[in-house]
Amino acid sequence: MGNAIRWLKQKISQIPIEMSDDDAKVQLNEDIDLFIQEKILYSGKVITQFASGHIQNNSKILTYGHSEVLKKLFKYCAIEENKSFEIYIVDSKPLFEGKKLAKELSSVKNIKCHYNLITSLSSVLERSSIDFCFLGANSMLSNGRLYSRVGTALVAMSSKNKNIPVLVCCESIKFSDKVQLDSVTLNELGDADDMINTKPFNKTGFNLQQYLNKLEAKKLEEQNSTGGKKGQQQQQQSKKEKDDKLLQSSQKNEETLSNWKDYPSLNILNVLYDLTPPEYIQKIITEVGALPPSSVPVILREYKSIT
Amino acid sequence: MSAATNTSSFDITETYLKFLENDPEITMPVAAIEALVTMLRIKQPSTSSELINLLSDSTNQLKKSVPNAISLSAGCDLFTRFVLRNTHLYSDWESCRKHLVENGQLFLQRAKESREMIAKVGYNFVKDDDVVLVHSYSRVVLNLLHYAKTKFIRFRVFVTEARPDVTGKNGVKMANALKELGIPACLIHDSQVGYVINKVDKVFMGAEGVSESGGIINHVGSYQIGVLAKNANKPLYVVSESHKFVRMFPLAPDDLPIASTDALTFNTDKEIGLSSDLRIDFTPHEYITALISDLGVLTPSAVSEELIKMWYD
Repeated sequence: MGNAIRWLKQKISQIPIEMSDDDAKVQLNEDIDLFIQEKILYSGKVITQFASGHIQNNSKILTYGHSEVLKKLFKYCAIEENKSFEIYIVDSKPLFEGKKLAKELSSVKNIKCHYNLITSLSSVLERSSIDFCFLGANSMLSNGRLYSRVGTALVAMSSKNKNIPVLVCCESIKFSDKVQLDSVTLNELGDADDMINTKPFNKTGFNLQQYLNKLEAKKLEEQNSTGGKKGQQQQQQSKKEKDDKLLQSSQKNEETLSNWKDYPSLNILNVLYDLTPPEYIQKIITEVGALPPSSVPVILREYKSIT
Repeated sequence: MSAATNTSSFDITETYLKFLENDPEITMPVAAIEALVTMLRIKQPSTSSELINLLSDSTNQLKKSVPNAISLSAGCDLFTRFVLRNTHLYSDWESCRKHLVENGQLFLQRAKESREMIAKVGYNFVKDDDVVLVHSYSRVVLNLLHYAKTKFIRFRVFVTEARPDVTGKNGVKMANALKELGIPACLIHDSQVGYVINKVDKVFMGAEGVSESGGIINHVGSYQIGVLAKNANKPLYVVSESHKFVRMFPLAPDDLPIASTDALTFNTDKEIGLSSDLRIDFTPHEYITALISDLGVLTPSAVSEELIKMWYD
């Protein structure tokens, strides 16, 4: 994002003094539109062209979180190139960005989606013979490190451990001349309450919910049929009491730690980004071509005159 | 170079093969560029778009007709790149064409001299009393070792047999060539490299193509030697001219864009013998210590920098 702002400031400073404000605004608007076209939309298309060669029929692909470029790539391969493949989407709290990707991709024919949380990553890698791991980027730093959503480094490291090639798709506008050695130096903190108050999919577990549904159905039957046996009713009542107690206790669990601010020695940390070292990344695919992570500063140097 | 004056009988593949035959010292990309320059001179395209079309047609034809097209495509791409960059420099078409042909000749001259430059840069890597391991037949490596010998460095060479091979350019030829130059050589089987690797001080290898990541595409067996050398902590030096840098980025040996063969299929038919069709493989950059080229001694990551500079738009 810093790159875009810098570019805009540069454009503004290049406007001749004699130009009127309105004319300048019109020209700037045009420039911005062109910038978006070139650097973001077109780049996405070119990256898709380059990267689609890796996805073959019946490939198995691992990805983490949600990335626009990757979504375009997968859709292109499935729809335009008519390849059928499987995608394993890994997701994590608290943002659950992978859900978006899973929702969009499951409606595309030719793609078979699997959805997992990052906690089960090692099992996924162990059992399925994944061919490639595609990752998105927030930015690429000058020393070849990938700055992306927290959890990316974990996925990259585990993939490398299993000899799965890790490919990063990233537009060149995201290349930064910053150098950072670890994730802690510069990062963003999210809302701590997101970590505590995330509601899982159901308040009650799936089996329990089904059981409750069955009970409800039985109860309705009993009410409709004439005169239920008292013994049965009593059994059902005691069961129902147990269920109510369960419900209450699960509600109480939600309230645990919601008063975490009262505990002075408790700190909740919700970092948003992390750093992936270059040795875990095999290839970076940009619109200027594919390069190894050590060549990021070369692109910055050669193409700086264009931006 | 008995080029046909009748343009319709000009066959780019024939010309290319003739160049290869006539000059045993020439490499495949250089022969390709010579053929393309000849084609330019004969066909005489009248507009720049015709030129570009002609070029792309000829390069496609060449790439299809030769089975192992990697270093060939490196040469073709390089020439295409060079032409595209220079077509808009001249307003007058005639002078543009002349300039292209002249520069083509200059490039060829430089390419032929690059082996000498590499030898001058690289002979320092061979020290007195060294035991060197080389793989298969490579003229660049041969040249380098010969130059080292003329500088009175005494060393011995293990040469791998480098099977499978049908072109005759394998380890046997290399060992004979070394012995003729007076360099003591020992021809070993490919399977004996593991036994021998601890007695070796360094490994030299040529390359058919150098990929964007700094990995090399070379005669099959190079990857094995790379892994063994890394394990034994012996440096592996790749010796290659800069016009072999190719815009490819394979991730693994089976990621190479060669015509897929029926080798490596499983069947219960005893008639089918060895899988001899697999002749090249890919060595990733982490096994390579340094690349000795006519641009100097480069680290594998510098290769992509050179390629980007070359293709910088």
